[in-house]
Amino acid sequence: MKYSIDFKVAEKRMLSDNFFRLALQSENPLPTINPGQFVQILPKHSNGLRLPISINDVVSDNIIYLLIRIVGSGTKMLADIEQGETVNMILPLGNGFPMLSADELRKGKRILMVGGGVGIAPFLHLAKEYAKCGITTDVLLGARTEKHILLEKELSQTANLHIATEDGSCGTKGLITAHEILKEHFDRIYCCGPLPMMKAVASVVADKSKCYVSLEERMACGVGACLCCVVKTADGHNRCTCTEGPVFGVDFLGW
Amino acid sequence: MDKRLETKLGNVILKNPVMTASGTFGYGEEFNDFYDVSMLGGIVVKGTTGSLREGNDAPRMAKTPSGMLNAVGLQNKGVKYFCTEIYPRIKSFNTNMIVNVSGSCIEEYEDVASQINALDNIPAIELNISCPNVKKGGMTFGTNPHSAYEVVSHIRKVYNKHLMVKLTPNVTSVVEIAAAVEDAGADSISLINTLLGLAVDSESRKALLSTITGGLSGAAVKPIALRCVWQVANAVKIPVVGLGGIYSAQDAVEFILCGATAIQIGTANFINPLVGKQVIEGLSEYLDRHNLSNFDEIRGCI
Ligand SMILES: Cc1cc2nc3c(=O)[nH]c(=O)nc-3n(C[C@H](O)[C@H](O)[C@H](O)COP(=O)(O)OP(=O)(O)OC[C@H]3O[C@@H](n4cnc5c(N)ncnc54)[C@H](O)[C@@H]3O)c2cc1C
Ligand SMILES: Cc1cc2nc3c(=O)[nH]c(=O)nc-3n(C[C@H](O)[C@H](O)[C@H](O)COP(=O)(O)O)c2cc1C
Ligand code: FES
Repeated sequence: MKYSIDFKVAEKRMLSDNFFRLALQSENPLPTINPGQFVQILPKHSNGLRLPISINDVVSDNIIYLLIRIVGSGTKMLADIEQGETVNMILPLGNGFPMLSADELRKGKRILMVGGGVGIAPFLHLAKEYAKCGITTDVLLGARTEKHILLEKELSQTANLHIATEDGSCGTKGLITAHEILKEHFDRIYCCGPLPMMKAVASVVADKSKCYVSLEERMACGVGACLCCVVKTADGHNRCTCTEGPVFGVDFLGW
Repeated sequence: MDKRLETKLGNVILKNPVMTASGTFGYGEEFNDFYDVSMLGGIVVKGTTGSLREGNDAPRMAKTPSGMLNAVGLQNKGVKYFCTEIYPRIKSFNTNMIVNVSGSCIEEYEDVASQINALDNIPAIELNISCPNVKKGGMTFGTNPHSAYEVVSHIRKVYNKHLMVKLTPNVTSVVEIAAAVEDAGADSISLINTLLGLAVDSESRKALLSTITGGLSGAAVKPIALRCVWQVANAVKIPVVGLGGIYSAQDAVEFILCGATAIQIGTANFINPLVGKQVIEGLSEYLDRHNLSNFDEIRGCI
């Protein structure tokens, strides 16, 4: 079941560069939200389309966080919203990250999340969900420079944080795909970020069948009605990212 | 339910003039979480072709000022799949479920129309001779009065329920096409389908759609849609269904003033999933506010 809900902006925090984070509060309790699901948010005063944004964190039964990067007119409009103002969102949309079940987790399994840039957004929620099951996950963050690293504090409270920066100003120097941790054994690898980065990660992991990626196709409706958001899967068919994704197994995509 | 909103499209009774447009409302199910879609006057489902179509490659959409471009290219699983898998799921919606029929040749249109003809709970088809996003067929039938006449008269022979024909604005004279379609036996005309457009990203120096060109819809097209509806409503005797950039009850009334018997909402569903319900409510409120007993009193007064 999906809902169209008005939220109040409880907090807006501008982060480095073009990033900002919103805490959004609804009057009533929200439906269950799985890590990796997204919202379709409507910027105030916009007569344009909604924007798909991942749910960054769920902190109570009526407060969620979004982490957003300003890239164009829609995200710019969103950044102009002030604390106390109202914004409408459709949620929860899409299928989240398939998590290992509590049973599977007891056997000392290892989970890795690889986030590039704003692709880190859904992993705070995911890391916290695994933490609730008693699992400390590994999170690998990639950024251009130290200044571009997001949510370092929040993530390091729930996960083992690893960082790669292109200029070496923080963590290991070099591309995220060159990081040593990718050589270790993991039972599940989740990846979100720019397409070339996800493809590169998928190509270096030992077992593709354990790797899941979250895609950012352009969307119009977000609810499976318009077929604008398709991705071609291994079987040659076009599938909707908004209803069948945005998370897909790398095998299924045929990468 | 407000009886004053009841409208007739030929022999099809609409409980209100508000329908949703093909390709923008799925099969209705996608929006049933937001409101009871059975309250609509009608739902026009996705474009349906003879066999499965994958549609165009991504990217298929681009945002444009006050609108969007799409290049979906009629992705659907074909008429057989519709009849066996989708129809059983949607036939109990208590509204007029209308199938948008597409094809690349007359035989394909005939095949789809005759299979839909056999479905009891589909009171009408909307013949799409106006899709700008496919290489063969589609819009090419709707840009020439002779080919428009030909395809409609063939379908008239195999389809005996309400035949609505959807026209493209990408022509020199939409009136000429409308007259040909009426002569060929259409029961109503819907317009407009999308306008052929193009969007470019100056930084990457690339077109934003995989197909380069695509169909423009949304608020940006409303003045053109109103003009087309006004021209056609003044030229034909069959009812006209107006669409293109309808986001509110005011927009809907504007189309009725230009002669539309009913309207369809497309792109606005993406922005406001409750728009269908709100337009119905807004139309009742308009009648109250203007002291009218129904829309016949003001239809086509422009
Ligand atoms: C499921 C999903 C989850 C997402 N989660 C987040 C998130 O948590 N935080 C966040 O900041 N963004 C996220 N995005 C991307 C976000 O939706 C786009 O950045 C936004 O829609 C751009 O809108 P705009 O009007 O600001 O930019 P536009 O003016 O539309 O575009 C500006 C530039 O951004 C590019 N662009 C537009 N849309 C996308 C897209 N979907 N992916 C990649 N590039 C795009 C355009 O090609 C153009 O170069 C997500 C997208 C999807 C599909
Ligand atoms: C994503 C999308 C898909 C569409 N698919 C179809 C289709 O399959 N058949 C059709 O006749 N029109 C299709 N259309 C056109 C719409 O039904 C409508 O004619 C057009 O969008 C103008 O109305 P609007 O401005 O209210 O959206 C599509 C439009 C969009 C935006
Ligand atoms: S965005 Fe409309 S179907 Fe996915």
